[in-house]
Amino acid sequence: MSKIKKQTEEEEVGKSCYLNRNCWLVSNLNSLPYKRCQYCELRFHKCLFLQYQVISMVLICFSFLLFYVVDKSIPVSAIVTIFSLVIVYGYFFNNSTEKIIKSNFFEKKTKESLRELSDKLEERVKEQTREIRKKADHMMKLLEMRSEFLDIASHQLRTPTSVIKGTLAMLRDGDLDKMSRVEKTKFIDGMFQKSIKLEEIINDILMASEMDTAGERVMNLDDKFDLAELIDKIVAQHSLDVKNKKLRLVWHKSGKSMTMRGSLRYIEEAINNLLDNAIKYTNKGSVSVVLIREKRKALLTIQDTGIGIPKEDQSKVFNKFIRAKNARSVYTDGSGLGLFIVKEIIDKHPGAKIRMETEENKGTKFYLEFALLSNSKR
Amino acid sequence: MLDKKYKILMIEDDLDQIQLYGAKFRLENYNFDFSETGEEGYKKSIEQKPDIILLDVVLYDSGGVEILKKLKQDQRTKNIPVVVFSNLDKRELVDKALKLGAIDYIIKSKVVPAEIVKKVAEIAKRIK
Repeated sequence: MSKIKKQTEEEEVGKSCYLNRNCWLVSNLNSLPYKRCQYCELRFHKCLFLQYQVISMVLICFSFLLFYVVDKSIPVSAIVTIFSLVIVYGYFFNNSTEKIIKSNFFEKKTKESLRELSDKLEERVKEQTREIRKKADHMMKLLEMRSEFLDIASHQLRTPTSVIKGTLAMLRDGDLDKMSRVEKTKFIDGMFQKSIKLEEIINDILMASEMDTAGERVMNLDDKFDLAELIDKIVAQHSLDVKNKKLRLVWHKSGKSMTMRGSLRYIEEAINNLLDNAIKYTNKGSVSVVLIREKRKALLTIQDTGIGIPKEDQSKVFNKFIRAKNARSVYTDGSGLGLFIVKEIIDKHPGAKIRMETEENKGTKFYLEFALLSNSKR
Repeated sequence: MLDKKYKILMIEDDLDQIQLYGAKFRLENYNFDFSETGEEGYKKSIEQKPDIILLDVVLYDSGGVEILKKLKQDQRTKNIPVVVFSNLDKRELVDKALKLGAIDYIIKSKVVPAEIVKKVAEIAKRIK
């Protein structure tokens, strides 16, 4: 660790232990010849002090040579004068070079940090702009979703309303008196069916908006109930629908009781929605509900031989207001919220999972998993 | 009362609505026919040449707007007045439908059957 640290310090110019590896002298000495060398990144032959020394040597030699040529001897006074000049001059030169190198170094360092700061600032501005744009896009998407929610919700609510209103208007105007008894009954029944659908859609929209805004806060996840008993009840409620559609309903459960913790009301809603869909979108064949226990988990499958979900719609059916293309032809008044509600409920229960397998015109199978309480064995 | 029996074609995928508006139009002495899908409605428009088409926007097979476009681009059907009759109340959609050549855009829940019959009668009078 300390070796690495030392290495990086050696590489950083300006630090006291910095060794300029560009410089031949520093490299060979493996230490700093002068204090100012810690600020220098130049190669050896570009060293200012070296140049001074070389020029001084040349000048000394030249002076001695001149004395020798002119006087035929080199007087001691000349030697003293020349060396004192070189030493004094060298001392000042040494000092001033150190200052120059230091100030160059700090200037460079300041410029670098300024550039870095401006780069960082620019980067930060860019980043923040990106973030703001992302947030704006998200807001736009939310607004679009909201407006789409309102469009579709109002459409789904208006459709049964318009039939109820229209039938009542005809009743008021005496139009129904002109009809045969059979036709009249059909009319009134149509209106009644639409009022039920209207109620269903209102419930679905309320529940979906509850899921969106409050989520688990509105669910009381502390109910303790037996899953098998709950499904007994739900299956019994659907027996008439199954009979009317001439379908076969299979309900199989393993013997042991299965107690779980969660929201009784919402789990009932989720299973009810799935069974309701299975019956609604199956015209021939069977609907089977199987509940088995696997260690501390309850595995529930709801399978039908119905219309299935086309490939292109499979990834979307758990979204709000999405109805598979073929679903509309079977049942025109769906809210497109059922599976969204189911998924939300399951996701909000710890340990609960949902998965779907489906093929168009073959049927759909939902796999559900719930965590059971350990003391459920009676 | 109208002097001629006008032929109305309703392109609508909800049978309850077909029953409701169909009954009213028949009582008012119109010749009423319907199609549950857009494509079938388009074919019927060519074959039967209805006097007026009532077109829903949210259809099972293709959007009502697509069918409107097709009807207005086809020489055989482009002169048949199309009333868009939907519960989808969206400004852009209304503008688009009118721009594509729909004669009117009526929100179903805002009118009772007698009113839509009256509206159709007015249009019938205009095209006579």
